[in-house]
Amino acid sequence: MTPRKLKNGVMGFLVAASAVLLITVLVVIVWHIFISGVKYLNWDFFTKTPTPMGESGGGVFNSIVGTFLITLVAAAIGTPFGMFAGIYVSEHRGQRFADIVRLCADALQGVPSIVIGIFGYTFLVVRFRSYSALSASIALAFMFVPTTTRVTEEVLNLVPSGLKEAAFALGARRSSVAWNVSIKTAAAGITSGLLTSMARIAGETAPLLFTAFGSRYVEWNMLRPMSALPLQIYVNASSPYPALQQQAWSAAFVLVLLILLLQYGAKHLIARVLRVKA
Amino acid sequence: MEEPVIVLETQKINAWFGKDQVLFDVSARIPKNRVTAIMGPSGCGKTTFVRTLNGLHLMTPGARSSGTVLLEGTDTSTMDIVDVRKHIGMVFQRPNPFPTMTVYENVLAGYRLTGQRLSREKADQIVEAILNKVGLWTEVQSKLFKAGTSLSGGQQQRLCIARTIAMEPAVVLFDEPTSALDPKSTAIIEELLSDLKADYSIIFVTHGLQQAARISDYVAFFMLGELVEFGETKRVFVGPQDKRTEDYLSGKYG
Repeated sequence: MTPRKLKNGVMGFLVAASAVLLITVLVVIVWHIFISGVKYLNWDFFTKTPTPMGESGGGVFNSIVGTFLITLVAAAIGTPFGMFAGIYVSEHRGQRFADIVRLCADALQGVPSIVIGIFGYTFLVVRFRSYSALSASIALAFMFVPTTTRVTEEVLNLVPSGLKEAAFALGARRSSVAWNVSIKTAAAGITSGLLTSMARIAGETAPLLFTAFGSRYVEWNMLRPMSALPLQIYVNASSPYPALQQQAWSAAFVLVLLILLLQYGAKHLIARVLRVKA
Repeated sequence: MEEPVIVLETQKINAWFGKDQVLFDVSARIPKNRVTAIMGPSGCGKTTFVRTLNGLHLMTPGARSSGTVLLEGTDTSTMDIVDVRKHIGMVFQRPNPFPTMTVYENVLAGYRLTGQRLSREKADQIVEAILNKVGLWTEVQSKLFKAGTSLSGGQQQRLCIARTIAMEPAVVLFDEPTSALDPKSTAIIEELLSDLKADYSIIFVTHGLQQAARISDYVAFFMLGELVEFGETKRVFVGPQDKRTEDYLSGKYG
């Protein structure tokens, strides 16, 4: 065997092995959660609130409500900021301030979520003297904005410059080109970015520990402590009661399913964008 | 030979990309209702020249220009850029209909993008008349509400011509509009030009000598950013006055 062929074989093996490893890890995690979680899923699980410590039965309805509320409010707060920042950065490509905004978004993306949690605790919880779902949403919005900014920018940059030139050549002003051509062409991609960002924050736990805190009751008031699936998993899994631990698996299954669905939706939309481009 | 009416005149146009000067003192008088071909070897400034006419050149970062463009006697630098572009339309090298718009909406894109509202009847009227003008009406009548990008390449390019002339410009710039098309689609567009020049003055960038000879009434020969020779196509092809034009026409470079 020639050295060139040997090198080719070794590299080919490494590449394939890494790919298989990646798939295996995902399958093992999802499969294990599915097996452990699915058997305790029942109607009560989705409709009831937790029973007192040590008693069996009950459900996580309060946490499901909480995850939806906290994630949606965070996305509602973060979407305009993230999108507009992304539009700004894309429209002012190459300019100093746009570069600074991009750099800040990248840096903010790198801030550990526990730090975001402490930040939310110090500036929101302590100041308003109460744990609240709203402070959790705001903390999560800080994680939502930078990803949204970057995705929006990247999708807008994919819009062919020829389309924008065509619009300018027809006499369109810059704002009209940005809105009617760039954003509309990139709309599916931007939406997909929003879904990906939502998937990312839906599973966050650390910021919620310091802000939403958790609650045993179904809570609709954003100004009060609220439970969420990651919190419920954390509390249940670290409890000494097998029934609660089992419930944690089921909650984990529901959470993973939710996130995978969001990501699947995002991918589906990206496929549509690429079709538009071609 | 009767002197043609001049629709567009350039006086000493210079253009730069950063420090590189790409056009040198280009002065040309473009006749009304004629096809003027802009030809020359690659990189001679043909495209840059037409892009200075509607101000697209300046949208490239680092680009500058100097000189005067007179549109029917009016200095375009005194006009609102939106008006300049309404009067000087442009068709690009690659067909680029708006992918988010239907065929119908693409024809009216100029109105929509500049915020002009049209009544339903008026819009229908324009779409039918303009698509007829570019010979697309019978072909796309049943696809009016499908995506503009669903048409074939040649049809897309005619759709782009349609959206440009829907704005009733005086001058239409064509920047090598057939270079991405097959021979049949090219022939259709070339034929279309002879109809269009009744209503519009056409400036047509091409690097094909034969194409210039086939379609144009006047020809401007560019080299290294200079306008070397300008005149009636027949005259320039038969008896070029500049040695460089002669060399180019006889295939010494290009």
